[in-house]
Amino acid sequence: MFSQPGLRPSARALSLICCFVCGFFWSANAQNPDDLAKCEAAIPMQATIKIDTPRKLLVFTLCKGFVHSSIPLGVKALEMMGSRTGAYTITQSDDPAVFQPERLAQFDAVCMLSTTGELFEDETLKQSLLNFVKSGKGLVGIHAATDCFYNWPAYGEMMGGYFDGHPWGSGDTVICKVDDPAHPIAAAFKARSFTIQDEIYQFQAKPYSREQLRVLLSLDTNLTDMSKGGIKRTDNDFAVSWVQTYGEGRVFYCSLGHNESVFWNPTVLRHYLDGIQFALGDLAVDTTPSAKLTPEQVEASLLAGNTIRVEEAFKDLPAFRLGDDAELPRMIEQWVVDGNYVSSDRSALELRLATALRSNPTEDARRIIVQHLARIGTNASLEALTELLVVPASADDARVALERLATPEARAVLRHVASNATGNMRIGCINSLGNLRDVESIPIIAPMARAEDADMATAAQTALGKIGGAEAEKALLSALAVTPPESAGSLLSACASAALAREARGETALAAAFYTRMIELSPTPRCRIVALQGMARTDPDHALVAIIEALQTADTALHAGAATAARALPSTVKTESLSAALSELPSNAQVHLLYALADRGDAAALPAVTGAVQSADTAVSLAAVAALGKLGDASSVVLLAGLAAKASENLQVTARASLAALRGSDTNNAIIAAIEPADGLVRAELVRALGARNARESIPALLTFATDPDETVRQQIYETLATLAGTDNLRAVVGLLASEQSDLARAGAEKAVVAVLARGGNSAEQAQVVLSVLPEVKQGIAGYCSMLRVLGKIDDPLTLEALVAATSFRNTEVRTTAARALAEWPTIAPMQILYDMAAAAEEAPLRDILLRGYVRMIENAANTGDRKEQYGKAFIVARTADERKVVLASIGKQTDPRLVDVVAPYANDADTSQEVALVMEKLRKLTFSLKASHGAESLALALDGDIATRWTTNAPQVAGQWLEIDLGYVGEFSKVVLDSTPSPGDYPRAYSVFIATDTSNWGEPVVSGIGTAPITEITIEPRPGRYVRIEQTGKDDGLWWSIHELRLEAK
Amino acid sequence: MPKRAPGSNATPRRAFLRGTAAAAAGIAFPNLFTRRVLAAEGATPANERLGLGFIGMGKQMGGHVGTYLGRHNCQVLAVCDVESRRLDQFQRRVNEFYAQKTGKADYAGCEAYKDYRELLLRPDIDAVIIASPEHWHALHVIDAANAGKDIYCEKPLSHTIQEARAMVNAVRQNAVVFQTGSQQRSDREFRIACELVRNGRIGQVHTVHVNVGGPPQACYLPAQPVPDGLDWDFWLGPAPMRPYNADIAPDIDYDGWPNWRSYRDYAGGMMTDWGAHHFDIAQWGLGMDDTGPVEIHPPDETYERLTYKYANGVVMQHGGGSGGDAGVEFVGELGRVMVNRGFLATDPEHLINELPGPGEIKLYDSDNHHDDWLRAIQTRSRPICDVEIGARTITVCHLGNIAYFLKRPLKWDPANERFVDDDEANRMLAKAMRSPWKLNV
Repeated sequence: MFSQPGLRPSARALSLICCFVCGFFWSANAQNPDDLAKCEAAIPMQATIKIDTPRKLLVFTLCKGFVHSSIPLGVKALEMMGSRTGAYTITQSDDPAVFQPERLAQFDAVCMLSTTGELFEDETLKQSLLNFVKSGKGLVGIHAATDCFYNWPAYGEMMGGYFDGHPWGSGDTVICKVDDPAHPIAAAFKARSFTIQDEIYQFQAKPYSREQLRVLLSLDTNLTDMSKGGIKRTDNDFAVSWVQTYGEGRVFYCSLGHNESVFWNPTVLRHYLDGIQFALGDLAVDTTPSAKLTPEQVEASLLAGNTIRVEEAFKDLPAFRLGDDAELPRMIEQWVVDGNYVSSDRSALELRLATALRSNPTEDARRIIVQHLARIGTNASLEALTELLVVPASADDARVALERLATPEARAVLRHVASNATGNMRIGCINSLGNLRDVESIPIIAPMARAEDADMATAAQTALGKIGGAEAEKALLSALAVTPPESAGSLLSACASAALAREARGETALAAAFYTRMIELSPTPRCRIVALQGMARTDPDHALVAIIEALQTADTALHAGAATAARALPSTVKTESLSAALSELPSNAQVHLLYALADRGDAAALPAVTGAVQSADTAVSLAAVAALGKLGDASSVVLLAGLAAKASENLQVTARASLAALRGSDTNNAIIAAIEPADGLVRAELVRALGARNARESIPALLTFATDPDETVRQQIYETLATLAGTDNLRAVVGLLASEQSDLARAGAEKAVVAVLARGGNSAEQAQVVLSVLPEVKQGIAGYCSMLRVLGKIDDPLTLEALVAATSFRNTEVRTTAARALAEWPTIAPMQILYDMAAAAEEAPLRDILLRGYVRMIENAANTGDRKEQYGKAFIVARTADERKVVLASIGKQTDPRLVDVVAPYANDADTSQEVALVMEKLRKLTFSLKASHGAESLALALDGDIATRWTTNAPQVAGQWLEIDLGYVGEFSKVVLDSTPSPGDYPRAYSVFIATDTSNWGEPVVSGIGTAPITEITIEPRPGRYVRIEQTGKDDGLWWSIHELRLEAK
Repeated sequence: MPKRAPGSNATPRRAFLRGTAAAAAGIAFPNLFTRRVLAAEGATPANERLGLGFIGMGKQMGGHVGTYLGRHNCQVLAVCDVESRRLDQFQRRVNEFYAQKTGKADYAGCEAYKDYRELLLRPDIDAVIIASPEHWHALHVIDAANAGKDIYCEKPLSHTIQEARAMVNAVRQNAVVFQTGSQQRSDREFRIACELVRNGRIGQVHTVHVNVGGPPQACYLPAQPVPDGLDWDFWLGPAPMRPYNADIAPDIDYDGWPNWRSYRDYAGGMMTDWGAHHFDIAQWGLGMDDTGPVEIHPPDETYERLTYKYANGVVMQHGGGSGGDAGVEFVGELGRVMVNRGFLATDPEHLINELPGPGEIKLYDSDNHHDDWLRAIQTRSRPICDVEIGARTITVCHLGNIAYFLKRPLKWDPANERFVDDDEANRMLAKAMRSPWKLNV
C-alpha cells in the first residue's frame, strides 16, 4: 500500500532504485554530520537492564514501497544505542535471505525498521520468522513496520496492526498521552504527556485490538486537531506504541520514526531501548492486553502512574528551560490550580515546590516555581522565599510572592526589607505594603513621604494613601505642604484615596475635614480640583462656596474642575445658588457652569440658563442654548425656534438640537401652537423640530399650514411630512403635491409622497389615489411631470397605462418624464413597451432613455427571455455610437459567454471599437466555474489548460465526494471528460452525474458509471441545465480522486 | 526614570472652549446637526487646538493617529513607545502630515518619547490616547489622570477587576474626561438593538448570548534575542519577567494582531479582547451599566457553557444562541434581537422598524466615538463609554476568566465588587506588579 497516492509512479521508481542500491546506499555515509551529533548526544548512557549474555539484534531495512529518509539515521541510532549501553549489537540487512532459519537463529530479536511493501514472497522465509518469534525470541517494529506484508495476515497479527493512513503528517505537532503510566517500557515518559512533531499512524480495524495488545502510548485526541482529513476510526483510538506476547516470543512496536528528529529525541530513544530489551528477553514486563486488565489492575496502574508523574515532574522541574516541552509546566500549573482549593493537596504541592526551589533551578524554572508559590504559598514557604530576596535575579519575584502570601509573617519580612533595603527593592516593598494596606508599616513609610528621592517619596505617599487612617493622613498632608505642585499629581491622588476610604466607612466628617485641609495646605489649582470633587460629596455647603470661588478665578482648568464637582452637589438649593452666581462669573466659567447645570438636569436652573442665552459672549450663549436641550420645556420653544431660524451657524445648529430634545409632555403642543404667530423662517424651524421629535400628532396641523405662502415653510413641512406621514395621509400629501406651484418646493412635496408610498399599502389603492388627484394638478407641465414620477413608483397596471399614455403627449418634457419613469420601473412589465417605443422614437434624448430602460430590464434577473436575441434587438434600435455604448455597457455586466456573437458584428465600428473590444475580451474570459467537496484550493488547476497541474480531493476516494460545474447560463450538456492521465490511478472508481437548472433540486442521476482508466468520458443525453454535479459513488482506500483537466461539451 | 514624578500642568489649560469654531452641542440627545458643525469649521487657531499625546504605537494606533490628524481642532504633539522603530515611523508620519498641511517643510512639532511619564509632563498636552497592551492600561491611565489629562483608552479597559475600579477612582478624583474605546456603542445598529430590547420589543429578556473567543493561557514560549531598539524590560513593565519572544511582541513589520492578547500575564484572551465589545453591548441592552451579574458558572455537569446570572434572573451565556452572525443575541419572551458590526436582525422581522416612540427610552446617541469624546472634553460631561461603563464591562469579562481558571461556580457582589465568602477568588481581583511599578491611586 502506497502512502502517497498520485505520486505512485515516481515512488515506485524510487523504491526500485533503492532496492538495487540499498547496500550501496547504507554504507555510503550519507548522513548529515549535525544530525549524527544530535543523535549521539541523545543516546541513553545506560540500559535499564545490565546484561551478562551478549545480545544480537537484526535490523532489517528492506523497502518495497516508500523509502523513509530517516532510515539511515535510525540504523545509526540503534547501532550507537546498543554499543554505548552494551545492551546489544546490531547487524543490518536488507536481504530476505537473512531470514533463512540457520541464519536467523544467531539473533535474539529482529527489528523491522520502516520496512514497506511485500518484502518477500518465500513461504519458508515467512514461516522462519514466525517460528523465530514463537519460539521465544523477539520482534521490534519501528514506524512503517506496520506498512508492509499486507498479503501475509500472520505478520499483521504478530506485529499487532496494519497502517491505515496517517491523518497527522510529518509537519504536525501533536500531544501523546501515556496510557499505561506505570508500565516499565513507558518509564522514559515519566507518566506525562508529551509534545512531538511526527506522523501519527491510524491502524486498520483489524487485526489491531486492545484485546491483544498492551497499549503504552496513544494520541491525546482531546488536545489534538481532530478535523484532519483521512480519519476513519470512530473510537478515538490512535495507539502509538504497544507490546504483546506471540507464542513464546515478545513483540514491541512504536509508530514514531518518520522524522529524523525522532532519532535524536532522548525520551523516545530510551523508550526504544526499553522495548528492545524486552524483545531481547532481558526486561521482563507484563503483557496482559489493555482490555483484559481487571479494574483493580487498572486502578493500581493509574495510582502508581500518578505517583511516578508527580515525582518525576518535580525532579525535572528545576532543569526546565523555556523552549522545552511545555507539557511539564502546564501539567504542574494544572495541579496548582486544581489543587488550590483542596488544602491537603495544597500543602504537599507547596512542599514540593519549595524543595524544587532549593534544587538549583534554572532561571526559567525558578520563576515558574515562585509564581506558583505566589498562588498557593503559605508560611511554610516563607523561609525559601526570604532566602531569594538577596539573590538579585529573583529578589523581586520573591517580593511579589511574599506580597501575595500576605500572612503576618510575610508582612514582617517585607517591613524589615523596606526598612533596610535601598533602591528598587525598597520601593518594591513599600509598594507591596501599600497594596496590603499594612497599617503596621506606617512608622516605616511615613517618614519617607518627604524623602529627597522623588521616586521613593511617591512610593511612600501612594502606599500611605492605600493604607489610610489618621497617621497616614498626617504624613500625606505634611508631604503636601512641601511638594511643588508640578510633582504632586500622585500625591493628590493618594490623599484623595485616603479620604475616599473614610467616605466608604461612613466617616464623612473626617473625610470632609481632610479635603478642606488639603486646600489650605496647597491652594493650587490641581489640589483644589481634586479636593473639590470629594468635598462636593462630603460637605456640600462648604463645597458650594469653594466651587463658586473657584469659578470666579481666572484659571480655566479650575473652572472645568469646579464645574465637574458642581455636578455632584446634591439638591435644588445648590442649583439655585449656582444659577444665582452664573451671570457674574468670567465667561469661560459661565460656559462650564452652564454645562454642569445642564447635566444636573435640575429645572430650577432654567431661568438663569435662559437668561444666559442673551450673553454677548458667543461661547456662553452657545452653552446656554445647548443646556436648554436638557433643562428647557415648552416655555423655551419660541426662544429656541427664533435662534434656530436666525442666529449664527453654530448657534443655529445647537438651537435646533435643543429644540428637538426638549422634554415635557406639552412641548409638542407648544411647538404646534407657536407656528401660527411666527414668521416664515421660525415657522420652518418649528416644523423641522416636529419631524425631529417624531411628533405624529402634529400631522393635521402640518397639513393645514401646508398652504403657507412662504416657500421655505412649505418645503420644511414637506420634509417633516416625509418623516411623519403614514399611509392614511397619502391622499392629503398627494393633494399637496398637486397644488404646489413652486418648482423648488415641489421637489420636497414629491419626496414626501414617495416616502409615504414606501411606507407600504396596497399598490392598486395607491394608484387610485394618485390617479384621482392627477386632474387637480395646477401649474401645468412641471406639476404634471412630478405626478408622473410619483406614478412611476407604484407598480400597478393602471399607473403603467397612464405612463404609457403620457409618452405620446405633445409636450417633450412630459414624454421624457414618462419614458424615464417607465425605464426605471421596478419590474420588467414595460419591457416590450420600452422596446417598441425606443424603436419608434425619432428624438435621440427620448430614445436614449427608452433604450436604457430596455437594456436595464434585460439585465433584470426576472427576465427569462433569450438575452442574445434581446440584445440583438437593442443594437438594431441603437442608432448612434453613444446608444450602442449603452447596450455594450449592459452586455459587459452579463456572464453568458455566448453573447460574444451579438457583439462581434460591431467589432469594426470605429466609434465603438474600444468598448466592443473590452466587452468581447471580458466575455471570452468567462468560463464555467467549479465547486467541490474537497480540495477547493486546487479547483482552478482542473481548468488551467496545464495537464501537469491537478485538482485533487487530498483524501482517499470515498462515496460522497462531489464536484459541481456551473455553466453560468442555461445550456445543453452533452459530454464531460475527466482527464487524470499523469495520476493514472486517480480516476473516480464509480460516479453518478446530475444536471439541474438550480442547485436546490438535483433530482435523479442522469447517468451513472464506473471509472476504469485515467480518462473518464461521460456522455450525457443532451438536456438543458446550468449545473452538473459529479458524485463519487465508489471508493479506494489508498488513492485520491484527481482531475488534471476537465473538459465540457455544452451548447 | 525621570527625576520628578508626573504631576499637574503648571500652565492653566488653554481655553479650548472659547473657540467659536468649537461646536458645543454636547448634549446626550439626538444631535442630528452637530457633525455638520464640526465639519464646517475652518482652521482652528493653533492655541485653541486640543494638544494630543499618543501612548502605545501599535497596530490599533495607526487608525487613531489618522483620525486625529484629520481633526482640525486637534494637534498631535507627541507619540510614545518603548520600541524605537515604531516611535520613529509614527513621529515621521505626523511631522510629514503637518509639514504638508502648513506648507512648512521643516515642521518638527511632534515629539517622540520612550517614557510616557515624560510625555505626561508636557503642559501643552491636554489629552492622551492610549493603545498600549492591557497589562499597561491602568498605569498609563492613572498617571495620565493624575497629570490632569483627558483620556481616550482602548478597550479592554484593564487587566484586573481591581485595576478597573482604581482607574474609575483616578478619573473621578482628577475630574478628567475619559472615553473607553468600545466604539460599538457609537455604531447605529448596536444602539438600535439595545433600544429595541430596553423598550420591551421582545418582551421580558430572559437570555443573552455573547459570541466571543475564550480565556487566556500561560506563556511557555522559548527565549529569543531581543530586537534592537526594543526596551523589553520597559515593554514588560509591571508584568512578570520572562525572556523576549516575537510571538508576544512582534516587530513593526508584522502585519497581524500581536499575540500578547492570548497570554495571561498581559491580557485576558478573547474574553476581554472581543468580550470588551460584546459583553459591553449585552450590559447596555440589559441596562446593567451600573452593576453586574451575581453568579458565574463555568462549564460543568449542569452548565454546557460559561453562564452568568443577574439578580433579576436574566441569564447570559458565553456562546450558544441561534448560530449565525450575531455577536450578541438577546432572547425575550416575544422574540430575539441579533446584532453585530454592520448586522442587525430581529425575529420577528417587523420589530426592526419599531424605533422608540415618545416617552420611551432613547439611548445615548453618538454617531462618532471620537467626536463624542472631543465634545465631552469641551463640556466636561461623561461621554458614551465613560470609565465607569468600561469598568463594569471589563469586570464581567474578568469574572468569566476567573471562573474558567478556578473551574468552579462563583458568587459575585456587584455593589461591593467582591466575591461572596470566597478568599481564593478575591485574591484574583488584583495582581502583583514588578518593581518599581504600582498603581498611583
